[in-house]
Amino acid sequence: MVPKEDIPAIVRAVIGEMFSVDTARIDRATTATDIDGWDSLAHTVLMVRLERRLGMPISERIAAKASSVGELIDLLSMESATGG
Amino acid sequence: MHAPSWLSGNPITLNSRAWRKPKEHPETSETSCNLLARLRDHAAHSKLKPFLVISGGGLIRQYSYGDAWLEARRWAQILRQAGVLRGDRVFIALKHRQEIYFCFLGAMWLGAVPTIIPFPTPKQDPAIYWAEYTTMFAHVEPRAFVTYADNIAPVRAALAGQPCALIDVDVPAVAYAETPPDGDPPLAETGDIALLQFSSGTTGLRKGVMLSHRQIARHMEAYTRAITFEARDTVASWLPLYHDMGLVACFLMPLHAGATVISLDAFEWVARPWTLLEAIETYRASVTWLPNFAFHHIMRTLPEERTFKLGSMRAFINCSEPCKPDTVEQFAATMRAHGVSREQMQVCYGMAETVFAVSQTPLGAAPRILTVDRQLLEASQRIRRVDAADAHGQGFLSCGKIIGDLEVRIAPPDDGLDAPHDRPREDRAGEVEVRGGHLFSGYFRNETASKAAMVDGWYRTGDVGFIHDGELFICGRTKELLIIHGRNYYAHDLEVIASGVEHVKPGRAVAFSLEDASSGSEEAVVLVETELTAPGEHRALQRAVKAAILDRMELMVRSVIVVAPGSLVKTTSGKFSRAQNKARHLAGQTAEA
Repeated sequence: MVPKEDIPAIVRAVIGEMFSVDTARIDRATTATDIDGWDSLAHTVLMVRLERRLGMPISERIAAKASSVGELIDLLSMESATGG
Repeated sequence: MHAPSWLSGNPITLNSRAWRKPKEHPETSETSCNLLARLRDHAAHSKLKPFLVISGGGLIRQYSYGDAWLEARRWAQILRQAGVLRGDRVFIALKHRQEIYFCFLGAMWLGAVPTIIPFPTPKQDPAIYWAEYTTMFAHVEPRAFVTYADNIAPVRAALAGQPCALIDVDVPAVAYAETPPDGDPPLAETGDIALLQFSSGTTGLRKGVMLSHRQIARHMEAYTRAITFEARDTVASWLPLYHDMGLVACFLMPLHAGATVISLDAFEWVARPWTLLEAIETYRASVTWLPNFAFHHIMRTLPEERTFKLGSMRAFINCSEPCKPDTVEQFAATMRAHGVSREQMQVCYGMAETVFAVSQTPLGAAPRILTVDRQLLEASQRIRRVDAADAHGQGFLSCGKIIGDLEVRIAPPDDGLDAPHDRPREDRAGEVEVRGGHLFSGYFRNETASKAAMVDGWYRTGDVGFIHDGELFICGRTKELLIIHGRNYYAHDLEVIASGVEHVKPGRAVAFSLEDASSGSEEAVVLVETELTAPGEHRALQRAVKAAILDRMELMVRSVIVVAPGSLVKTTSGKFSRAQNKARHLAGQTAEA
């Protein structure tokens, strides 16, 4: 599992790679509708890639609940702190 | 007489005819055409055999053929109490739950005409969602509408005072209604319309494909023969039942044959695609039908640490959106360690208007891939085989041989090279036309659309294809249709919604689709003209257009591209050209504002 402080950068990097977007364009307020191609199928693929990169399981609750990149980072950080 | 207490709103008078002892129903040889008669026979001969294993929300429920018969009878009773008679339309809008199956069969039992429609997703506003159905409800006049609490008020509003029984599936009087001990109502007759399947669309009238019991039975006989589908088969499926492939291949055909269905929740499958593989392994499933994108979704999310035993599968059948040769090759290679071979990969071509299947590749052999000269195909619709490695080659996947007594012809392209009434030679591409056996009877209460769909007794599919060595290949389409994740959307509908969004110049939007190799499907792109100039305003506009289309079409558009007024290309007749705007977009020439 990666250190908690690395999570924001990793999340932005994985989103940037997956949707071919400059990470400078991804901030906490970014939502799925701001990123071309981020639909429900892509969201599942994104969660799988994040699980592998972060080395931690991501529950369906988190996957479904996060409505922005910032919220996703916060939820993953909390999950990481409690050991998943 | 009072309406039952569980009827919610607009109760209709109970009709005494519904309670009268049924007239004698002659046991003709054609009763085998009736799906309920098939269910009755399976219930009598294989009472304990599982018909349905349905999983969702962490629960798994199993219904034998005996259970299914009783549940169908219970629903026939519930609907009859609501006043449903032979020929009446019954709408079903339910999430993944067993009642979809049994309510559907209960309606069919009465000779009523069930239709399953999608429900609003959590991202959609139910009020906006159901308001879209107002025109359709007025046209189709449903007698009963079976749904759950969230939809009752907005559906009632959309029904606009029509006499239709709204049945809340969770109200105890419905949920626990008992199976009547006697007096089975008569089974529907073979010539009766058995069901309606509605096309997608918002701005135009949705077209309801009418299918009779006889047409469905003919289809089942032809298609079960084509894939040697038998009672010993087990179908694993996540497909929703409002989709023709989910309804026919994964519900009605197993019912016809006395086989077993393992049914997963589509939403859960999207989030956890490997659950289909778990279901195949657990229940030793033998057949599944998947749109092309689903193969990619499974591959892209395959758990690294697990191996699934998929050797029980006779066929992974790719259907309902353009099937790609690469998908077949990649899936067979990726899944080899899980027991999948190229011979299990199969292709079907079908549509609601032919109940489902038109053609099918023969099981037991890998589907044929034909590489043809792309330039010659584009220039003159002619097919010339080239080497698979040819720089100008494009591979097409065979959709197999035509099933049953359907006939397919390729309409000659209108270029004078083929005589107008001649069938073109093999290896000439043109619009695929179908007639015979299990072709539909027309669109419900829509003579204009029914006539427009036919030419000289042939149904115009809107797909472009060719025949080579007796096998059908699909290579394009004539309709302005986007097929995304197995569902059809009309470009015109997306454009109308987009141009209705504030700050989009009215009528100045163009929609088209692009192929996306990673998802294995098409993706929607919408170009909109606006006077807004600030980047922040553009971002807000893109969000608003995406949200509007998502709300009304349940489609997440890949890109909304904001362009300056006057940027969109028009044809000489003054209409926006989707093809030209798409070509400019692909060439990087779209002038983003």
